Parts: sequence; C-alpha cells; structure tokens
Amino acid sequence: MKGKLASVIVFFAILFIFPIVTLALPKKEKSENENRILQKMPVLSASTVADRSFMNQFEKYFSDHFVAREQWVQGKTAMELASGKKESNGVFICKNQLIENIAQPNLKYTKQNIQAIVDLAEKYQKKPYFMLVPTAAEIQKNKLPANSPVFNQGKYITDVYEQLQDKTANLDVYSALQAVADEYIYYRTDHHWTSKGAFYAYFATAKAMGYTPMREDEFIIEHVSHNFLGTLFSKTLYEHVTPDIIDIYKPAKKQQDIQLQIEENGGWTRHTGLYYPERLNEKDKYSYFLGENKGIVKIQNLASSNYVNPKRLLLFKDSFAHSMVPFLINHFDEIVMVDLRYINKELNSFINVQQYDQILFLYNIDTFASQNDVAKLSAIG
Amino acid sequence: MVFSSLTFIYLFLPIVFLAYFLAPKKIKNIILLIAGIFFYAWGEPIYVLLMMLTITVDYTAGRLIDKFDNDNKKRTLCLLGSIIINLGILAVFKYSAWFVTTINFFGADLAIPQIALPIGISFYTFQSMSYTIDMYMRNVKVQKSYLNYATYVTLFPQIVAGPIVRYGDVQNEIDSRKSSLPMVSKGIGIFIRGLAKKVLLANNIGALWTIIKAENIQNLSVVSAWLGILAFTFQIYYDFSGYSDMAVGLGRILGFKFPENFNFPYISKSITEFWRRWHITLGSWFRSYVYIPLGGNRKGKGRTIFNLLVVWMLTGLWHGASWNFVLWGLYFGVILIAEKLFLLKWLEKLPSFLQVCYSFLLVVFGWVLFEFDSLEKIGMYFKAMFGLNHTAFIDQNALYWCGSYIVVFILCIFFAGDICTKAYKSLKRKYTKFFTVVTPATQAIIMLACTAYLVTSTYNPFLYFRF
Repeated sequence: MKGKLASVIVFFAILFIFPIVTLALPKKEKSENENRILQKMPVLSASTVADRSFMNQFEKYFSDHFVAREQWVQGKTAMELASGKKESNGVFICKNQLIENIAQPNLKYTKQNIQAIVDLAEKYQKKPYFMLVPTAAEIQKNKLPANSPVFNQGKYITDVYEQLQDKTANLDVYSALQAVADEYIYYRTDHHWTSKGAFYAYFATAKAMGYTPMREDEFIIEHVSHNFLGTLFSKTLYEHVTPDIIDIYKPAKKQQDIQLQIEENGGWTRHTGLYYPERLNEKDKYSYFLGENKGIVKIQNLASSNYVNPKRLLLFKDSFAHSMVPFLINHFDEIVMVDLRYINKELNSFINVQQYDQILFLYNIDTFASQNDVAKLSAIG
Repeated sequence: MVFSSLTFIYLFLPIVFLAYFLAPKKIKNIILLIAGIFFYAWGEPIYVLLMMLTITVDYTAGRLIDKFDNDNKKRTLCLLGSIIINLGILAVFKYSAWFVTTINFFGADLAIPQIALPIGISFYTFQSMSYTIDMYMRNVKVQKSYLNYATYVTLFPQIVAGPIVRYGDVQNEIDSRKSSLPMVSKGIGIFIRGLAKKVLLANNIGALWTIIKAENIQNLSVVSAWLGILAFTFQIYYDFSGYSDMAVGLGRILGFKFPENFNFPYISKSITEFWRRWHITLGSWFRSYVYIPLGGNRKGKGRTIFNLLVVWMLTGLWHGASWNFVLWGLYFGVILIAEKLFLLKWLEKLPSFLQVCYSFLLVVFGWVLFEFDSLEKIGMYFKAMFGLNHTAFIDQNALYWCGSYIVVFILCIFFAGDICTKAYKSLKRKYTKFFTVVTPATQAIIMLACTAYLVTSTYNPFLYFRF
C-alpha cells in the first residue's frame, strides 16, 4: 500500500510542479540559442479558435516557456547519444567537434543556380570567378562517426565546375583546405570556416584572381574571443566541445581605413571598420565579421592609394564570405557584397556591372546545393 | 489535443484531476463531460458539433428503442436510423474521397471531395453505435440521462485513439463508480508505461522509418529495407498500444475499467492468435456486430468463409480509406481461413520458436501492404527486401542506421515480449519492500525522460534569420 501511495504522490507532484513553476516564472522575450522570438500568449477570439490558431499558438507558448527548457533539450541529447545515436538535430557529435550533416544536394536548384551564373556572364560579357567552398563534413570527414551518410562534396564541386564549362573561372579551394584538414580551419561549434580556413583559401586562389597574396607572417593575428558558441551549439546545446576562438588577421604593415555602407530600408547606414565588436558580447559572435547578412553592403578601403581609380569587386555571397573579405580588401579598393537571399529587385537597378573589375561568386556547398537564391539573378538580372 | 504533449500532461491533466477529485460525486460526470468536449474541441473546434450530433442521435435512438420495447417494427426502424446516420457520417467524412476515386477508375469523372477527416471519428462512431445495437439486442440497459450518455461518448481517455469501449463495458461505472488508491496507483503505472511506449520507443524507432521511407526505394540495400519495415513494425505497435495504455491508465485513475486492447501481439504463434492480441476491441466489435449477426461459423463452411472475408475487408477498410487497406485486411482474412481449415494443425507440430517466426514475418509483410498505397510501391518494397532490385545486401547507410538505432531496436524487441512483465510481477511479490521505492522512482525517471523528449520536439533554432 505504501508503494501505491508513493506512486500516486510522485505522479501528482510531477504533474503539478512543472506547470506551476512554468506559469510563475517571468517570461523571456527571446531565446538567444534558438535565435528567435518566443511565442507570446495568443489572443482568444471566435476566429482564432475556429481556425485552431489559438490552440496551436497556446501550445507553442506553453512549450516555449516551459521551465528549464534548454536543460531538457540537453538531457534528451545525452539520452540519445547514450543510445548510440551519433547525430542530434542534424549535427554530428564528433570528438570535440560538431559537424553539420548538410542536406543532400537539390539537383534542380543546382541547375537553376548554374544557369543564372552563365546568364550573367553572357549578359555582361564578363568571366566571373566562382569559389565553391566545401564544408567540414567533407574536408574533416575523418572526424565523422563511422559510415556517416554524407554525400561526396568533392564530386559535387567537380560536377558543378564542369557544368559551368568555361563561362566562369573556377577556383579550387578544395585542395588547399584538404592539405591542411587537421588544422583549425572550421569552427568546432559553428558551421562556418575559421579565419585561418579562409586564409588558406585566399592564399591558394590569389594568383588565379590576378594578385599576389600576402603571406601569413605579413599579418598580425589577434584573438578577439575565446568563448564563441556557434550555430551548431545552438542546434544541439551540446556542451562538451571546447568553445571556439575567433581570430582576425590585421595587415602588419599596410594601412587600412575601411568604411561600410549598408543598405537598409531604402537608405544607407554607415559603419567604420570591418568588425562589429559589440557582437562579441552577444550569442551570435560570427556576425562580428561585417555584421549580419544584408542585401547590399559596400566596403571601401579609403586608405588605398588607388582611391581615385578604385579597383572594384562585385561579390555575390553567403555568410562564408564574411571571413574572406578581410583578406580580399587588401587587393580591392571597393567590394560590394550582394546577398541574393535578401534581394528582390532588378540587379541593374542598383548595380552597374560594367563598373566592376571582377565578379566573384563565393558560396559554401550547403547554400549553393540546397537553395536557389542564386537563380534569382536570372529573373531579376 | 494529443496525449503526448506538454499542454495535455502538464495543464489539462492537473486541472481536470483537481476538479474531478475535489468535486462531489454528482458533479463528477459533468466535469468529465466538459473535459471531454474541451479536449475534443481543442483539436476540432468545428467538428465537435458533429460528434454532438452522433451523441444526440444515438441517445435518442436508445430511448426510443427502450420505449418501443414491444413493437419490433419500430425498434428495428430506430436501429436502422441510427446505423444509417452513423455510418453515413462516417462514409461522408472518411470514405467519400476513396469512393469517388474508385468509381472514377471505372470511367466516371467526378471531382474528388477534399473533406478533412475529423479526429477520432472511427472510434467514437463505433463506440456510440455499440450502444444502439446493444440496446436493440437487449444486452444493455437504457441510459436515460443525456448527460451520462454524452459523458460516455466524450470520455477523453479513449475518444481519439481507442480502445473501442462499448457501452456495455462501462454502463455501471458511468452511473456510479468508485475510485480507490490501488486503482489510481495502477492507472498511473499503466499511463506512464503507455507514455514511455509512445515517446521513448515509438517516436524514436519511427524516426528511422521516416528516414528510410524518404529514400528512393530502388536504391535501398536489403538490410536497409528490412531495417525500415521492422522499424515501422515496432513503431505502429508501440504508438498504438502506448496510446491504448494511456487511455486505460487514465480511465483507471478516474474509476473506469476499460478493456485492454493489446496483449503482446508479437509473441503470437499464429495469425489467429495475433488477431486476438492486436487491437482486441476492434476485433471484438466486428465479431459481435458483424460476424455473428451474419451467421458466424454456424451456416456451413462456404458461408463461414464468406463471413470471414466480409469482416476482414471491413477491418482493413476501418484502418484507412484506401484500397491497400482492403488488401491488407483480405491478406489476413485469407491467412486466417487457411489456418482455420488446415494450417493451424500443421503449425502446432512445429517448435514454438518457428511458430512465432512464421507469425511475425507474416505480420511484417502485412505492414508493407499497410504502409504503401499503390501496388507498384508495394511491389518495389518487397523487391528491395528480397534483393531483387540489384542493390547490395548491406551498405554504408544500413551500417550507420544499425549503429544509431541498435539500442532502440533491442529495447523494442525486449519489451514486445512478456518476459519483463512476468519478471516484474514475480520480483515484486518477493521483494515488496524494495519495490515500494523502486517503482515510484522508476516511474518518476520515465516521466522526466519523456518530458525531455516532449520539450525537445518543439526546440527549433532558426539559424538563417541572421546568418
């Protein structure tokens, strides 16, 4: 009888404690780790009940604010790993590293993206450079769990470059990264490459792009953060990985006076320098490099001696480019970054392509293979 | 509302239990009725009215059948009215698309109706019909209180996913029931067992089937194809029996003894035995209300076979409004007939282990018919399972999935048998004091583990907003 009473007491205690604590605690506005605003209490009305939106949002509200939400997520990840799973929420848990299991390529989107680049090249009679960057799942695949179901990114790059034929100048960063695969070229808790990874890619492709790269000893490497927990940490909340270090490469001898102009709501905001130090105090530290992704960002090196007749680069990119621009800006006086995910207007309404000395498409495989934002160029270009 | 959700477990249940246990006896049914309607309306804010219609029709039919106790013609009319309306509603809301697709196949060119299926309609319709049919057959007493009848149909434990609780099973308890500590405690144990089956086992092994099902069937290695269908085999068992357990457990806490719906079906030694252990309340419903009225096995061999085929076609069709479900039902119908006629006698000569293998394999093959809605896909999947697609026996994906899911599979296999239950029962008798602590502690741990999974299912980092 005592056992039965204990069962009853335990059950009802659990059943009442969690909701009471949840409802009593003050509610947070947003989740840093989930990078989104948490659901607010929904409005109750005949229409929100009839279309179930009230119920759906209420359930979301209750679970978004459930007490110790993130600890529960960590508990579940721990249970899954104990049961032999090697992945959590699409991220491989490797030894002291998290590696994203990027989606299988969408061949239709890939084709559309390729076509858009070819069309642009033909329209403007220019040969753009194309840098397709593999992710950690490929270059550091020896760290992945046995038999991981990942696709061959090397083959994907070869296929894409082949389909572009000679319409583009294809840049090979794969070999350069593979040669240094054991170095700290990808973050441990984030899906981006590190500044060092970007450096190796920069160094290997400079000649093809027509300039002599600076050597690593021509830079001063500064550690700006030792506790970066990135996107892959957010997805898994897995804490047993050493937090990442963010480095910046400052030219030792060159002068730089970098000004950014960011298009925002029809106007332009200004920012001095490549970096956003205030981001280092937030969760989203990668945006320390050139801020968040925006549609158009103009980067000018006003200390360049060529300011009267600037050398210009038009850069179609995803967030991987943010680690690369600090190197490119030593060889161009002006770089205009265009993020096609945030552009919905005609290219030639804000860009005069002929003004640019070079065009570079810089994408990591995940963006290029799973999304068709590049294809927007065909529609709008 | 769904049992395996934070809102149900941590808001609905505490509030309902509090109100229910504090309320005086006379009010308890009102509380349950409100809770049941709220629970159902939470998922179907509009179609809750349809359910109320069914309730009103059958309550009225019951009263009339009782009133016309001496007039057989009128009684029969009331029964027919109730059956036609109930089955009519079911036909429109569940089967109209299937029906139209079928007659289109024969040349018609009608637009296929797109009617959303109201939750639980297959369950509550069958439950409510059981009352009118049993009233007609004089198996149950009339329920004069509309409130009590409505409480029966809307009982939130089983309205959405069964078991199919016939009015006769609970007619006494509806009017007066007793709660007791042992009953509540037992209910809690069964509920937690069901929750664990659903959240820890079904959802997890089901994730593997979701992955494999999304692959190109023709590229699956043999091992992958088997891993996939075995994953589904366990998913559907733990999902369905988990829900039934939660329903039975909740019922017990409230003072109701619902019939069990699953009795370790995968240890069956024949398909005949399997259907006495799987979705027991459905089999029993069809037996009482279709098979026996048709004559059962008392009208000669030919008629028996016909009766069995009708029942199994309907059983298949109950599970889904699509021809592959009919095929699935007939598949079992044919096997059952064969077993009845001669197969069982042969099987009994085999060692138990082989009998279980025979039965389990046939059930697994059945699930292929159940899960794919076209003969083409069914054929492709069987080909994959038997290496006829020119794929490898085992490949990298299969190895990865084995490694990732081996523990879940072992747990699924282990708990599919009754070893654990038997051992627990005998150990508990021997070491009662030990289990006084261990049982509640284990229950608490399981509840916390399930909660972790339920919270995580809504954890959704939105990475590209900024990146």
